[in-house]
This record gives sequence, structure tokens and C-alpha cells, in this order.
Amino acid sequence: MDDKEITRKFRKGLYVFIGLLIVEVAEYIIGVRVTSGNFIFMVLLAAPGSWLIVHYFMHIKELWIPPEE
Amino acid sequence: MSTQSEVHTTSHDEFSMKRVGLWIFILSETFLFGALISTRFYLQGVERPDHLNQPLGLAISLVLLMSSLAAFRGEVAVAHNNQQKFRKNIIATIVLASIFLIGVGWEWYEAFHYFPPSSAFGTIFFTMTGIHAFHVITGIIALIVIVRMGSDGRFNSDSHWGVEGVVKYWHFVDVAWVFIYPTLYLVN
Repeated sequence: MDDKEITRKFRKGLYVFIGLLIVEVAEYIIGVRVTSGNFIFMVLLAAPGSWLIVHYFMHIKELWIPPEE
Repeated sequence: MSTQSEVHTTSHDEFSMKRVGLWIFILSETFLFGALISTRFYLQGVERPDHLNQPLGLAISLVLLMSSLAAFRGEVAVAHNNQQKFRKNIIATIVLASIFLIGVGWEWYEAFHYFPPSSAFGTIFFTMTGIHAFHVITGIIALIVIVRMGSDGRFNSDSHWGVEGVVKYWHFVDVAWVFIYPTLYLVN
């Protein structure tokens, strides 16, 4: 039962990582190809990237919703 | 004499306090990195030098993201009392973090030639990556400590605050780089 739960959470982590990968590669492509005025794109990509980490990896919700025991 | 529910509530409150304390610390670090990022734009606007090693910047960013995934897996493993997976994943985190530092070192070696610390961009580059690298080094030390403690059987599904705290710090180091990377390498 525990192994299934671990596998489920590992898979969730992998999906978050893939999302972060997409964000980083998109930033790189825009940063290298768009020769001027890409600041707004960087902000629009960095913000959701950091949210993915803060929400799914850092569990910021635990500050106001206690974790399940 | 405390009842069972009072002991449980006290334990829960204790963890809540620890989490709040950790997040306040993380918030203070956010101000530090926020100030550094603001300095970049104040001193240099959105200009960037041509000689930044873009493929290397992307590569080390991906390595740091992988380390965050490994740290997450380590925390999940210890929360389910799987000591073997905990140890493997935290060691993987340490290895990936070390690779990141080697990459930063290579960046510094190249950067000294094209934008030395005496130049405006050089000042920003070396300060930001240097302070971030210092956080990476302290994170590695903390990760090594929790691996050692885990080997001594100090963590289990009911008691692993040390792991939670260190891993959250590690994720913050990654979040900081999520902003530092485009600020230094990609904005134009």
C-alpha cells in the first residue's frame, strides 16, 4: 500500500518536473531567439515555474491547511 | 497530566510553528535575492553581454531542477518510512548539486575573460551567482547532515522535520535560480 502511495507521489513529482523543464526550455528559446523586448515573456514564464515548485514541492498550503496524518 | 488529544495538539502546534519559522526565514532570503535582481536592472537595464555561455546556463539550470525532483522524492520516501529510497534520492540531490557548482565554476572561468568583476555586468554576475552558489554549498552541507542522520535511523514517517526543513530550503535555492537564470542570461 505504501509502495503504491510512494509511486503515485513520485509520478506527481515527475509531472511537475516535466512542467518545469518545459518552462526552462521555453525561456531559453525565447531568450536566445527574441533579440529585444523579451522581459515580459521571462516574467510570464518564471512566475508559473516558481509557483510549481512552491506549491507542489514546498507545500506552501501546509501553512494554513495541516498535512494529512 | 496531559490527555492524548492535548499531546497531539501540542505536537501539531510545534510543527506548525517550525513551518512558519522556516517560511519566515525563506521570505527573508527572498528579500536578499530580490534586492540583487533589482540591482541588475538598476545598473545594467536589460542589456546582456554577447559572450554568455547560453547552452551551459541552460544545462546547469536543468541539473538544478533535477536535484529539486530528487530532493522531493527523498522527502516523500522518508515520509513513508522508505529509508533506502530516502538515502538514494538525497545522495542524488547532493551529486546533482555538486555538478551544478562545477558548471557555475566553469561559467566563472569564462566570465573572467569577457566581463570581469570590475565591469558593471561582471559585478552583478559574480555577486548574484556567488551568493547563490554559497546557498547551494550550505544546502549541500545540510543534505549531507540529513543523510548521515538518516543512516543513524533518526528519521521515520512520524519524525522527519529535519528532512522537511532541509528539502524546503533546497527547493527555495532552486526557486531563486528560476529567477536568477533569466535575469542574467536571457533578458534582452
